[in-house]
Amino acid sequence: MRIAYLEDDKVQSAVMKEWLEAEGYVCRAFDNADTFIHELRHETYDLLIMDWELPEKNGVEVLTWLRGEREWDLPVFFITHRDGEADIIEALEKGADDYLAKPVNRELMLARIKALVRRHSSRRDHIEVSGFVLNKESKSLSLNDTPVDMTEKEFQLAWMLFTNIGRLLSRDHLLESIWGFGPGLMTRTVDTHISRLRRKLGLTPENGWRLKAVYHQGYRLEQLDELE
Amino acid sequence: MRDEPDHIGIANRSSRYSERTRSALILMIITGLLAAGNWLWRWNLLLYDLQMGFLSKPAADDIVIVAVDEKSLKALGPWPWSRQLHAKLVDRLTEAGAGAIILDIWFSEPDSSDPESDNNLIQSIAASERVFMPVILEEHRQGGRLVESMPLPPLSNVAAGLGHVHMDLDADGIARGVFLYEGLGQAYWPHLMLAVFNWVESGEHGVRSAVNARQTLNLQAINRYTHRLIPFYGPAGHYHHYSYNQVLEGEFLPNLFRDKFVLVGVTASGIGDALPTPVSGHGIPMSGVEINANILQSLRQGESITQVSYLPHLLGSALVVVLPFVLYPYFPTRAAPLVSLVLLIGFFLFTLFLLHRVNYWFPPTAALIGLMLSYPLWNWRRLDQAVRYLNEQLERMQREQRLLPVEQPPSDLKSAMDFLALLTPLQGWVLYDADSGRQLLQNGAELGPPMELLKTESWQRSGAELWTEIQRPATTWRLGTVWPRNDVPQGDSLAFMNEFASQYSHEPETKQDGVLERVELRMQQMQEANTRLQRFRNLINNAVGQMDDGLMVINGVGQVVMNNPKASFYLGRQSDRELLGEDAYRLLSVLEIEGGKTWRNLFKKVLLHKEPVRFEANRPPDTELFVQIKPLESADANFPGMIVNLSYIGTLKRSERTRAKMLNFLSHDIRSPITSVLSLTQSGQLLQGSARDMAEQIEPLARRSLKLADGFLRLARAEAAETASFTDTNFVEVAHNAMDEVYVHAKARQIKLLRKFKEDEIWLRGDLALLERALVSLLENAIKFSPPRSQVTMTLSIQGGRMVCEIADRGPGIPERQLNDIFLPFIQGDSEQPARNSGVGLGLSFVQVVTEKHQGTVTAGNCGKGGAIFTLSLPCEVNTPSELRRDERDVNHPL
Repeated sequence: MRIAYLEDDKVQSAVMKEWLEAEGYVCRAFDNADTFIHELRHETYDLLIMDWELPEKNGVEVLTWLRGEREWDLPVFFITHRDGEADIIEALEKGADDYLAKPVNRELMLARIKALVRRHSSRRDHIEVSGFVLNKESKSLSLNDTPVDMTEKEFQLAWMLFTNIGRLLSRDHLLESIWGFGPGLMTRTVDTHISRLRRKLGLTPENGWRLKAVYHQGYRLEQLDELE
Repeated sequence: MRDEPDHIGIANRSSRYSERTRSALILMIITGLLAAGNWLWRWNLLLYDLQMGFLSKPAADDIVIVAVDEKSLKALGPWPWSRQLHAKLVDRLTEAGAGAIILDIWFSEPDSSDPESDNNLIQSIAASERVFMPVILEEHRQGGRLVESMPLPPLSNVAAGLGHVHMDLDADGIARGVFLYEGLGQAYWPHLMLAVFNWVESGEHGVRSAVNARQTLNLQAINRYTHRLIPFYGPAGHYHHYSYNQVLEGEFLPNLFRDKFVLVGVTASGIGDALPTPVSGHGIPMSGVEINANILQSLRQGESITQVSYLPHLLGSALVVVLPFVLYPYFPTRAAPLVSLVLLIGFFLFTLFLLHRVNYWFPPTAALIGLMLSYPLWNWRRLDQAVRYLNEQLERMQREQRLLPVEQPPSDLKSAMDFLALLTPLQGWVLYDADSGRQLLQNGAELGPPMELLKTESWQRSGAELWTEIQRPATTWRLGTVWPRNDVPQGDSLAFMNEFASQYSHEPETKQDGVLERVELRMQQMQEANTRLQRFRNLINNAVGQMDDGLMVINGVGQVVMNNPKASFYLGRQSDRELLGEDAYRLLSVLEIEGGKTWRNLFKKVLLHKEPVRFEANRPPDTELFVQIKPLESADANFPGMIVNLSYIGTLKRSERTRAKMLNFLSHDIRSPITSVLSLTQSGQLLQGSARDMAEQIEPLARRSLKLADGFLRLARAEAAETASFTDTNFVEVAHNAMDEVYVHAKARQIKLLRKFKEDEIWLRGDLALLERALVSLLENAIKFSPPRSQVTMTLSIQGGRMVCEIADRGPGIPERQLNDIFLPFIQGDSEQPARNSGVGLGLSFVQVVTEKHQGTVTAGNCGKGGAIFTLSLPCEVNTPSELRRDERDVNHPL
């Protein structure tokens, strides 16, 4: 898998390159936006990792160019010092798929990258993970062979989460694909269903799961085993 | 402001005094001129005659008139009679024992036809020794030369006395007085009656000296002195009359003439010297002989009247008119006319008293006119002064700058419209005079013709134009504005436009019929000026009232004369009214001054040395103020005192203190891990060791630095958070997230996390990230102080409309003395025991800031069985929103 990495900090860049290559990824690092964009025009990559603060053009500008001009549906992962809520929201709204604040935890980063890449390769009707079995056809979910009673919306939400473990799912996306509402409507609906799922499925760290609300933007289902 | 009326009052009083003096002087001069010019003689005489006619006194019994009357003429033939008859009369009267015989008959030439009669008369007179005869002064004889006609020398020589009988006729031809001495060249002749009087009183003969004197002088002018007015005792015929022929015939009682003054003279009309007198007037003239009788009686009774001479009269008249001006100030204004009336009558009565009791005649008219004039004059001067004062005041007010748009001329509208264009997308405007339709001003884009308006004081739209009418003092303005088509003012902007227009609106001036009197006009202007002043005062009050600083004006005796509500507030009072008139010293004493100054010394410095002072003060417990006191030093205010300005600096001081603590904190906590890293890089032992050892040493130090930096950032973000950006947040979700977040950390320390959530959803307005971070901080804190294999419990519930979140640990708890300030930032723990706070750096401060931002509270405490408990309480929604109920239906009826 080929990863293009835009980062002006030489130390950070070297460490990241080392970690990614140790995982078997092909990683090319760039220290300025123009070279990076030039490279993207000529080469194909499976994932982009970007810093926000860069000397000339910043990460968000590159992202805007990418999503706007090229219309590439390429996973983009932001890794930056900027960790304010407003910054994160801005990056996500501009089309970043996930976000991580420095200093970077090696395992966490690798897990996120796996999640991002995995979504793009998985198109399944049946999921089995840590005792959970989900079947899209029968719209049924069972935990340790015990079926869990749930509404259709709850199943759809669970399906979305379990097919995207580790990946940030924006609330608007969830609303649109499950409820069909326009974005921004009934914001509490998703929250309420997330709460219900957490309780019904016992998605707690004690059970090896973490169902996290990421600001007001979205949700992420994480499997703790993967992080440790 | 307060001393203003007094101030005016003093100025007024002093100028009123000088105005009074000036009025009195003017009147003195007028009266003096009237008196001096003698223009009022006719009026004086009229008054004199009137009072003379009213008062009749009995005629003296010892004065008898033997009259050459009509009856005698009929009996004795036409006048003149033979001097034999006169001789016979003299003999008869002498025989009858008359005291004095005054033969008021003219014997200046010898009787050529009967010389014997002259001799008889001379013999009779000589024998009688008591006969007096007149000397006539005549002016128009012998070619205008003045001539003195004495009786024939033989007669003169035998007469008991001679005297002139010249009546002094006044300008109106009425005889009122005589000169007691009169003569050609020199006044040597006494009046005939004076001669008689002197002869009776002292036996003096005035004849000889008179004759001698006459020879030495030969002058053309009549000299006279000692003018006396005759107090006429009654009208003609008042004295006892006996006809000449009756006496001649001896037909009278024997004692009738005994010791009496017998005046013989002509009373018959046509031949006598009858003159009009005050008591008779022109109708019935009084004969010379009767006038003489009056003169004689007045001389004998000492009642002859002296007219007050020129200078005393002048001065007297002039002085009398000063009286009212002296008296006016002692009486109310409305009593002033009465005062002058009383003075008028009083003075007239006084002149009558002078005349009848003291026998002095003071011509009163000039003074009376003066007195009559006094009131109008005084009134006029006062009115004039009042008007002048009004004018001055008005002028002064006019000079004051006109700050309110209502008072400004139309030309000022331009700058106002420019200002409006700054605030709004105004493209152009035009101003018309609504009455004449004339265009007054125009600017910017062109407008259509003026719109006909239904009502004034509000804007009416026509396309992209807005029109309004503004009422002005004398006219009406029609103001038109043009706007961009898609941006014509609406809502707030339109309300602002209405306010804008109403600023220029002015009540139309009351139009009155005819021409206003000047004073009325002035009064009206004054009223307007007053209104303007009132408006201005309101403006000032309003402006001062809305200031953020407290403002207080203290007068020279230490009382508050003006203050705004903020000042009362800062001094711990409720309303601004109650401060007025209060003792400033006591009022300000609630403020504690820093730096050992005292209010006494500060006041002294300001009031005595006129130095402004600035200092910080504190009203316990926590109102920190910056106080500035300045002396009042206005050029014309004449108002000693001072202005106190109180600025609230609590926020400033707090951030100042925080900054100080922060600096303290930075210098220690932040620097120390970094300096440690630096030391490591220089440690020879480590440098020779492996890189892994070095990394292991550096990592915790770097993490500590980072954690502090993060703590700072979070605190700063929490402090900058705005309620407006808060969103619907499910606190239960937040709690789950926070618990999940610290799970790994807790697990590493073998600490169990217990969730006791009594609600599935607790909704509130909040910042999810901040709330989560706050809970994480509390949890991390709890985990840190928990012994291994213990538990940390988070409890969530709704109590009394508030979300209550408790985080309890089984640690050592919090020392009592730290409970109060555990949430304060940068508080360092004491050295014996690591502070509860220092572990999470700024964590607990962050928690407090976040809860405060959410209108919540956070408290720390110890629970009974050991361990600390932090309680977070936030306002939340109590009712389940309808939206959720619909979701519940989804659950019950799956699709």
